[in-house]
Amino acid sequence: MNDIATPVAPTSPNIAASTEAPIMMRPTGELVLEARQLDFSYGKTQSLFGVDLPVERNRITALIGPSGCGKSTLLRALNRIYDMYPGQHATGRVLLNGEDILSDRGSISRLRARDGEVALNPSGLDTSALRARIGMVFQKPTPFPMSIYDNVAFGVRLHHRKSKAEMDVIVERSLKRAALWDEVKDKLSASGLGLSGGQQQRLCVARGIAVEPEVLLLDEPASALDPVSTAKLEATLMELKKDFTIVIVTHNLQQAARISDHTGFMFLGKMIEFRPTAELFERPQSPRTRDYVTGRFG
Amino acid sequence: MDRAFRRKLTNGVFVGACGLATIIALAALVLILWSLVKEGVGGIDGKIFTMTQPAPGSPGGLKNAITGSLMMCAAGMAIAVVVGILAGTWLAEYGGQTPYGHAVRFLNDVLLSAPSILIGLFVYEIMVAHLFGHFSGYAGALALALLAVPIVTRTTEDMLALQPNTLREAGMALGAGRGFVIRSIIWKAASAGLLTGGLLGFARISGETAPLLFTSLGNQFFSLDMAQPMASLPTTIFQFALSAYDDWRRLAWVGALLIAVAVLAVNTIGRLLARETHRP
Ligand SMILES: Nc1ncnc2c1ncn2[C@@H]1O[C@H](COP(=O)(O)OP(=O)(O)O)[C@@H](O)[C@H]1O
Ligand SMILES: [Mg+2]
Repeated sequence: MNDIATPVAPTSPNIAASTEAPIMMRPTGELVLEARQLDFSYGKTQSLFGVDLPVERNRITALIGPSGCGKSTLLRALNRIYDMYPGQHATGRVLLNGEDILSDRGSISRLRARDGEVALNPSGLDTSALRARIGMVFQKPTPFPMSIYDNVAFGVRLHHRKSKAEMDVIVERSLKRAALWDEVKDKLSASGLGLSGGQQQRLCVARGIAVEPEVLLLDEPASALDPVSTAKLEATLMELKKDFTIVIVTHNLQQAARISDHTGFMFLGKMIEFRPTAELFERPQSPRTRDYVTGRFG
Repeated sequence: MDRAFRRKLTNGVFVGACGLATIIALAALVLILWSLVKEGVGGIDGKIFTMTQPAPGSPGGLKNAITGSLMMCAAGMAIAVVVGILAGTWLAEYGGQTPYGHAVRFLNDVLLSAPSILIGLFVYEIMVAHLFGHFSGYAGALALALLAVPIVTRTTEDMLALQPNTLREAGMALGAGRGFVIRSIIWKAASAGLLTGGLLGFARISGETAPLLFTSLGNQFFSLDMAQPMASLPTTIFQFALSAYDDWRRLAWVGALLIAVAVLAVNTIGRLLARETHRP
């Protein structure tokens, strides 16, 4: 066991071979998104080692683990946002409805947005259409320097040509789903930068769901928010899982326990244990998970 | 002496030195502005804007010089803003870390501190000596543009580099391409900074004399033809201030005051606009 805790140079081959197999639950529902044996490297530094992640439809999947264990990295591999940085790359498989989005040979046509501009990246995968199907919300709120309305409409305009009336409907619906409508309905043309942190984060959620993605990825979305805003955001996410599938990274164990259906515990770039949330917290099987969820380290 | 006292003393000395330097700088500025106003205000009348430069002893104004300066500065800034923003964007968002990018940044920094008289000579060689065969407003505008480009480029790069990467990622996470994210999000987020770059560039070129002496030369008649030699405030000030005639020297003061007021006004308006666009 010591061999995991002792920091080994991440590139050293024995780190991948030295651990016991991950403890994975057998999926019961339909898998929307799935990572299989995913490796990820930042240049020469490998940060993920053979990670498996099954994401079931209309569930909230939480990723926990000490900081630096690779939660953000895993999330960023799932929508290929890392593509914009040369030198970062993933190997293994990420399946979206069974379609491999890492290998660029997958049948791209099915990933294509219904209409609108299609941007092909050099490798041939239509990442633009991919990202219309997998949305992302970041740790720090990232409102664009434009009106609240335009923030929400931004992604929709990229992928679909809509009339003003249609767009009005989409903006209103998205803001309602993100539980922000009542607070901003009278100032849709005001700048998104003028909202409070919690409101900005819900604006980012609204912006993400306005394009109707299948999956919404959130990377510690509440870590910059006060408890009241956090509670609102959590309530929003619980509501959203009726229509969307959510993967959330959090360093807040109570939060994972409160809102998620499944939880994956990661450590040193590996998935250690992935199980229904209640089971993972009440009866962790790996000693490492037990140490973490009982607060003995991390 | 104990440590706390030494630290207090050091702190006191340096705060004092900073204060003194500020006072000296402010005093110089106030003195300059004061003498400009004192000598210049009296000469401002309707004729300044309606009549061209006079022969010594007869009534006249600065109409030709003001018009020429406005036209050459506007043309120069138009070139500088387009080239500078594109170059700065390329450095910040695309090629800045490549060897070619480093070379471009280095050359830009060299240009930034190049003596303006060299820029004037360079444009003279190309446009005046060879292309046109005579002095022209175009040559003046180009020289001014070359002076402003490195400033706009540098400011643009710095301002774009200040924008957080998560903003770019947020745009791309919605499916936007890199270029679209830059045009529709990053430029907007940095708009106040980009405007500042333009203002700095304008402030730099509006008073430049040396490069214009080699390029647009000057023109004692009113002219809107940029293919011909063109008058400008700085060259007129240069000519008049050194002259032996009191009325010419008075006009030089007025010209200097006009430039100072223009730079001040443009800067103030720019700041206000920037604050306006950034107010949430
Ligand atoms: N841009 C990067 N370049 C190089 N290494 C990185 C980069 N981002 C993260 N890492 C490394 O990858 C590992 C996982 O990081 P990350 O996924 O951010 O962890 P977490 O989100 O779980 O805190 C860490 O060891 C970190 O140092
Ligand atoms: Mg992280």
